[in-house]
Amino acid sequence: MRRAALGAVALAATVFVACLGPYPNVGEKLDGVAQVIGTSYIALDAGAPRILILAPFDGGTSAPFTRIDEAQPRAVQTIQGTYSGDATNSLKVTFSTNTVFSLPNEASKPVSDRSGASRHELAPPTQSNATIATSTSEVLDLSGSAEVAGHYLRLLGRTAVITGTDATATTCAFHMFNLVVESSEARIPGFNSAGMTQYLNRVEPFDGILSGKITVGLVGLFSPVVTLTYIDYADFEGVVLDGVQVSSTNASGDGKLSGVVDFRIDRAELPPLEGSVDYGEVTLTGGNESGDYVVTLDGGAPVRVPTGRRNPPLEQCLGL
Amino acid sequence: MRRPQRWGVVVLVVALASARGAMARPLDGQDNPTPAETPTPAETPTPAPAEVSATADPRDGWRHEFSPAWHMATFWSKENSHYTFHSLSLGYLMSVNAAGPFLHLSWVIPLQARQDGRVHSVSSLYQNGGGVDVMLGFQWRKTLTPEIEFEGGPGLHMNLLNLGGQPGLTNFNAFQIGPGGMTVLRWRPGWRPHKVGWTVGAVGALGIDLWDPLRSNDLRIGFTLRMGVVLGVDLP
Repeated sequence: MRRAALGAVALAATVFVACLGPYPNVGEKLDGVAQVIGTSYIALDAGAPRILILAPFDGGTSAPFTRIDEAQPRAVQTIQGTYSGDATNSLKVTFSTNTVFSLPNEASKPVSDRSGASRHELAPPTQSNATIATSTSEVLDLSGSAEVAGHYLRLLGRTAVITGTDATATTCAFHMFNLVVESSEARIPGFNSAGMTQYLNRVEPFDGILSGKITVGLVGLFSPVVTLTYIDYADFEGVVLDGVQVSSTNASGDGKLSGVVDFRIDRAELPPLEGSVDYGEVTLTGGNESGDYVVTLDGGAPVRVPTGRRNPPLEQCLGL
Repeated sequence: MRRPQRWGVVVLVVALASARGAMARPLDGQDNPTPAETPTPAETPTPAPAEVSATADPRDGWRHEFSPAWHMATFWSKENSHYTFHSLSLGYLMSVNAAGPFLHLSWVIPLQARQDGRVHSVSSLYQNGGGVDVMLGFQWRKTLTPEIEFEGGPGLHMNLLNLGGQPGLTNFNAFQIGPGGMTVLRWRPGWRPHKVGWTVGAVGALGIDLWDPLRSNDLRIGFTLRMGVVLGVDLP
């Protein structure tokens, strides 16, 4: 009964201050991700990182794939589906997309006007044709459809470029860490909008694309506190998160972040880099971050990484 | 400075007289005034005929009624999905005088949800769901016989629906607004237990919903139909 009353109050408040986007499907699942356990690659698409995860065929003719595009400022589009080879030409591949997750860049809008993260099921699936130009253990060149094309390098080989514990290495480690954070946010329906009210007084789990879980919970309607808890969470090879990020704001999205999330960055033929990100020095204004992330690599000194654009850029960090 | 005060007194007197007339008249206008209220011949030796006919209009007065009903909201989204919710509604209906305002306020308990041919029990997908259906407008009454009265009129319709998702499922919310209309047919039985007048009847209301501010106006068009019974008791 208490939850019904809170729901009614939340809804009434939302009616007057915000919109929630299009109608959901009746009985729609919150977590619509398909786990894809396979090899992860990274490429740059017009300066923005593009991550491709390909599951092995394992004797079949098709297998799951995931492609994650992350632009700056925060804007994520993740597509999922299956890919299959051409029986007559082993260099031709067709990607069939059935799910799109998107987190648009709405930094210029007030929180109440944002649509936030959303998921769309595509029926029938969209087809993207590509041709394999190069395929080695470290390089995958795909040409053809802009949805998937790119000069991909195996992610575990690229993270091996990050070495040491100096400020540059620490900052680059944070950039890799933050790719996972932003990727996870894109799959939480309503994230970064008034749609988060649906998590009021409940805790909902979402699977990582590769492994682990993230849980989302919200308490307080007019001074919302959102808690994201990462549990062995990985969306692609190379970065695993564990910890809690908490945002405490007013209804306009003004407030602060807190919490600490530990990370582990796996590297080919090198021991993993481990460290943590402390959100205690990040403030939120209208839902937008400012201030510094305090990043510490094990054995290194804390480094303050400013919010905003990646510096140094990922191509420099990973030698792309 | 004096003119507004005089007008104020006139308005006050008229308003009080109207309110007294409204509150005093049950459905059929046949209730006898209490002896204490009956003026003595000495006080009012020659009552004006016009006054008698004005207060005897059986259509005057307030109607307060309880109305359990079947409630159906069916609507199409701009993304071409067709949703239908069948619900039980428990409503309070109020209207005033032969021509006057009305309010229909209902608590809606959704029971079945449909989308594009798929049928779901609401309780299997949602918890603590509910809604509020409101229609506010202007009505006219007509007496068909001394015991039977018809009431109808247009209004503004609002339907608020909030379904909290079961663990792992999304919530479903809507706030649909549009024009509408309603009709009520009442019958006043002759039997009056403990001398309390009562009415029974039927209500039908239709809303044509065109706007949903909660859902970025993803609403293409919606129809809300409520059909049920009304039960009323004369209030003192």
